[in-house]
Amino acid sequence: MSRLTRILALAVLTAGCVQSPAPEPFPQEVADAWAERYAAHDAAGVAALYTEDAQLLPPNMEIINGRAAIQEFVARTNPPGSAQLEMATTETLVFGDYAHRQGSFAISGPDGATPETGKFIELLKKVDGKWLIHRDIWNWNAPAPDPPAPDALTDEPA
Amino acid sequence: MNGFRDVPWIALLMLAGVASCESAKEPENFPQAAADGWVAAFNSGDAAGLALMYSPRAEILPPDQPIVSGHDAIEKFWTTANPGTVRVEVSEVQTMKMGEMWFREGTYTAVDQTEGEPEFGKFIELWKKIDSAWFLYRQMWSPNSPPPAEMLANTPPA
Repeated sequence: MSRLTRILALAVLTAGCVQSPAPEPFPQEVADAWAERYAAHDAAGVAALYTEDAQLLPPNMEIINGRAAIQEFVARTNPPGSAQLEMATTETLVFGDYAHRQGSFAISGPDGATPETGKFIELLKKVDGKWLIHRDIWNWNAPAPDPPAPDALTDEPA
Repeated sequence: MNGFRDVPWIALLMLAGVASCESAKEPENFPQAAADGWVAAFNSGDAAGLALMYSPRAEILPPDQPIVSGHDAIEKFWTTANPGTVRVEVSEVQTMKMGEMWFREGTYTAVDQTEGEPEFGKFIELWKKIDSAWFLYRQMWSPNSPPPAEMLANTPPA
């Protein structure tokens, strides 16, 4: 081969297949903002972290579709004064315009009693360069305790 | 003008380069056969077969129970959860390719032949390719309504 051929061959073989770019770091700022806004009972702020067509998949409920419904759900289930939520991330993965986050959570009882615990998985999606939560599923680690029997309620001292 | 002698070589190299890139970028379909195999194994009560469909580091995140990790624990879980009496159907399935993984979501109907009411719920899955075969990496679901009180009373402690 001539020098020209060798140069061209090298160019073809090295530039022909462009390597995928290195994966981005997980968008931790979304997770941090979610925790801060949820703790502040800012339902609109929490909902703004989801894609327009995001879905919540809560336990023992139907799927909640869309940002507006998510805001209503968060406002209803996390009013001011409700129990504190603590979250921990156990795994993050980033795949191009998608990212995965798995973790655990604990909700303290109103009197600081033993928290109820659960786990979650989020699918994040980059939309117009901005990371947002696209799917959010969670469930509990144990069945919910039975509600108190009506008799127990009426037997309580006034 | 000696360079013209090498034109066929250059063309061949370019073809080879393009062909190898095209094969690398060929879009991959969701591994439907693997997903169908999971449903078939579940509906036949084949817990050992189900367990083989999970990656070595797989985790399932069931409702009202802690995370189940690894083949042995997953096989034990499905042996208990479906002793051969439960049939499941999935619907409204959507899939998203995420780098080297597939995300799959949908709804399910589970019917226990020993009980009256079917359970309706939703699920998400992450599928991972290992040595050209697809395995479940994460699987999480929850029912759309709380379990009946009598089922809760019979739930063994985790």
